[in-house]
Amino acid sequence: MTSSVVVKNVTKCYKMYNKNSDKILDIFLGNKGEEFYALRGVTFTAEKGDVIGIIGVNGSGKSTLSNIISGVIPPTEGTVKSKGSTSLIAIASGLKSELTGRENIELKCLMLGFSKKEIRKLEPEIIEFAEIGKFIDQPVKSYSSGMKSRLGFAISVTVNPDILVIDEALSVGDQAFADKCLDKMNSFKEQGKTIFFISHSIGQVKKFCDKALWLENGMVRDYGLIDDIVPKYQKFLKEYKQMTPEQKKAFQQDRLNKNDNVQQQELSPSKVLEVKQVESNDIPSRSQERKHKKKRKGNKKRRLFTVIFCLLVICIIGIVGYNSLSAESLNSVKSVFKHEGNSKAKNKAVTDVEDNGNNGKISTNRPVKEAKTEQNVEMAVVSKSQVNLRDKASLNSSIVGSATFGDAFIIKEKQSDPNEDGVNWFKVILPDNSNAWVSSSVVQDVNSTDHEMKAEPTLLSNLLEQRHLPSDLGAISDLFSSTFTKIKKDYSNQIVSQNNTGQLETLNLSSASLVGQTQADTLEQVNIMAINQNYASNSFTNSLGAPVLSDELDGIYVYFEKQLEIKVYVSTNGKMNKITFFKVKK
Amino acid sequence: MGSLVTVLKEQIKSFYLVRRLSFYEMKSENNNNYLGILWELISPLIQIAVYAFVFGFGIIGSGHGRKPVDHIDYFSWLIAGFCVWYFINQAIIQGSRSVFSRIRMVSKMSFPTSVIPTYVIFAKFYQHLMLLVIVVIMLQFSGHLLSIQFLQIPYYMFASILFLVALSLITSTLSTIIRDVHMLLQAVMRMLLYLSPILWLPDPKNTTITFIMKLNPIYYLVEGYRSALLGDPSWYMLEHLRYTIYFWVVVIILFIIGSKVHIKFRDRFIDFL
Repeated sequence: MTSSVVVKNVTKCYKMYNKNSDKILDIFLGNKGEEFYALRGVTFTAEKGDVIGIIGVNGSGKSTLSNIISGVIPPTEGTVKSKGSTSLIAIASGLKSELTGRENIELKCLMLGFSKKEIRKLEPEIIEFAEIGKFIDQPVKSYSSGMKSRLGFAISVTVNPDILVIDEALSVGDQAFADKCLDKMNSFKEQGKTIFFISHSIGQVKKFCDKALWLENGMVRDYGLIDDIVPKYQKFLKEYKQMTPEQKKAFQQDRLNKNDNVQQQELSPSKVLEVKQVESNDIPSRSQERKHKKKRKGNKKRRLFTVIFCLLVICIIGIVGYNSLSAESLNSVKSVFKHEGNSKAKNKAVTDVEDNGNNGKISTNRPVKEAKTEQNVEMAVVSKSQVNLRDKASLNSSIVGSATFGDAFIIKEKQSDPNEDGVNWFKVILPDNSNAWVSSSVVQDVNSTDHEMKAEPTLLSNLLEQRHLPSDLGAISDLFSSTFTKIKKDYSNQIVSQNNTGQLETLNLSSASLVGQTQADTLEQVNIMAINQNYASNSFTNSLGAPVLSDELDGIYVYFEKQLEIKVYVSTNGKMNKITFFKVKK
Repeated sequence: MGSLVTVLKEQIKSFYLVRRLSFYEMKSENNNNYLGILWELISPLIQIAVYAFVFGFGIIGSGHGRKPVDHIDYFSWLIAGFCVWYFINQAIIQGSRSVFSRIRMVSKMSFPTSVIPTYVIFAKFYQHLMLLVIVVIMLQFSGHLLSIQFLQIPYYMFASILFLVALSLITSTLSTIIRDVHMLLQAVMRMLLYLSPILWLPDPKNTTITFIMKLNPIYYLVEGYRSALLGDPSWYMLEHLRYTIYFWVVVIILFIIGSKVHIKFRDRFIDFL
């Protein structure tokens, strides 16, 4: 057996830049940008006739490796030696959309170095294999994605390469075409060609390949016979699936760190099949040293930069502050002049104001403003029956929880979705003080001061009074700021029964209940039940004014007052059922 | 010097490929229009008509037609120069964007990247040939019959292709790395139309202006085409031997720089996308 592809210590490093200017600086100076290693020290040998499945989770470097093997991109370090011509089949097959299928065949074969005569011979073969019928004389831009990939595959296969790299290209075609391709590749296998097969379908890999190369975070995790590797990989996948996103991240980070210290420690010789280990300790260590040096240099530079930046910021603040102060005094002086001509009495008043302005204006203004913002809280009230809370401001992020109709959260931050027009995301505070994102399309943005009730309805205070609760809504609001133990003590003579479910403790009073959280020792919710049926819901809800949110079908009306969320539940017969009070957490 | 030899070798070795690929290049560019390849003629002819009207009749002639330039009527003088200018202009702009717009497709193939600008320039060269035929026919009607000097034309074609390939090696590399270079180049080309002797000729008595304008190698090509097409009894390239030497020195320097930067960056082109 002779080796057909020898991959020696291949490393591919991409640079990530924060700014465009960094990119240019990197070209000329060469030390900007964050390095990202797509591949690190990958070493293996493929024998002639091997069919090697490259497996690994997303981002493990499969496509990068396939591009390097087929020579599309050069490796940053290391070498790839391949005997014979290489052909890469990928979904984006590099056809020219303006030209017809036939012209594309000619063009591509030409670029691959075939003569006119050979192309004329190959053309009917390719057309037959691609099975796209009359479309062969239509521009490629009118093709469906399946047709494109079929044509691309047909060209790559018919030109008879010595080494074939298939990058998930089979996943586009239908089953019939996939089977045809597999047949073709089986015949390649018989001809003793080397094939690299990249797929997420373990079934296909198992059926088709004899060897597997398992990549993980850009390193070879394992390489050997398919029957040895695939069970291990499947076991790993199972564990990986169960990980939370944080764990996955930590796992990747962990692997990266390991990478820095030991290269390839995973590849123990007993597991490796015909892999020629290459002494690769020399080069990486040297490059690492260089990197450290660079880092030190970078730190110094960065520190200097920070100092300069801070000085600049101070200067700017100083200038702006000075300007605004002088502008203010200028304004007051102006106003003095304006009023001077009017009357002496007025003049006096103005000078008073001016005095006030110079001394107290700045200091008094701020607290007032702050107090205002404290009162005016922006809330997101869920307006759909079941809503997902996500960990990032995007539809692709993972779900961290859910909320139901009427749940209110304080908005901490707003952000618009970069992918979807018109969709905003709100960062909200959950009851357990963690943060989550929720889409603006499922919640209503409520400004608490906008919805204060004009006057406290007597009906509501009557109801509260009947239950020996504070009749004033302000007092109810205050309840939420005191501790639950204190409330328990205050109402001890009224408690009929109490029950615990997990961290929640419910105190049942006569036709009312107080729900508290035992661990945080806070009041969660106040419910009043068994409302006198005489109160028709219409009259009641009318007296409260227009609800902020309402669900007519389920009979839920949501109000806000003094940062209390008041939910009125109405049963199907039009009678009132239950009223709950809830204070939105900050 | 090593890189120059490598690039030259690649150019010569893939000459067949260049010819074939440029053909597909031209085809794919014009597949969308009903008139197809005819547009490669129509658009320069429209430009010639407008320039001839504006500069030969309107602005400078103030409605009475312009005085002849070098004893040649303005229209003939204009089209003789413009046909090569149109080629140079298109080739420089397309050549500059040739690498970054095609590298994704081409990198999977087994042929040298240094050929990419060349075949794009060749695609423009076919168009130039067609335009040249039209211009020569037009000149026959305006009294500038073909003469023995016409034999210079192949020499000037060769000179302009070499100049364009050398220049495009530099510009295509630079604009792949920094896309802004391409934008800058477009702006410069728009300006160069007025700074080359396409629409006007500096007074030969004003030696400084003539000298500065002659530093631009395009000056040499345009004037060379003119002398060959308009039947100037002397041989321009021999008459101005020193200028001929200057032109070739510039081309060789451009070629050396071009092949150096190209070889230096070509492995990383795909990373710059």
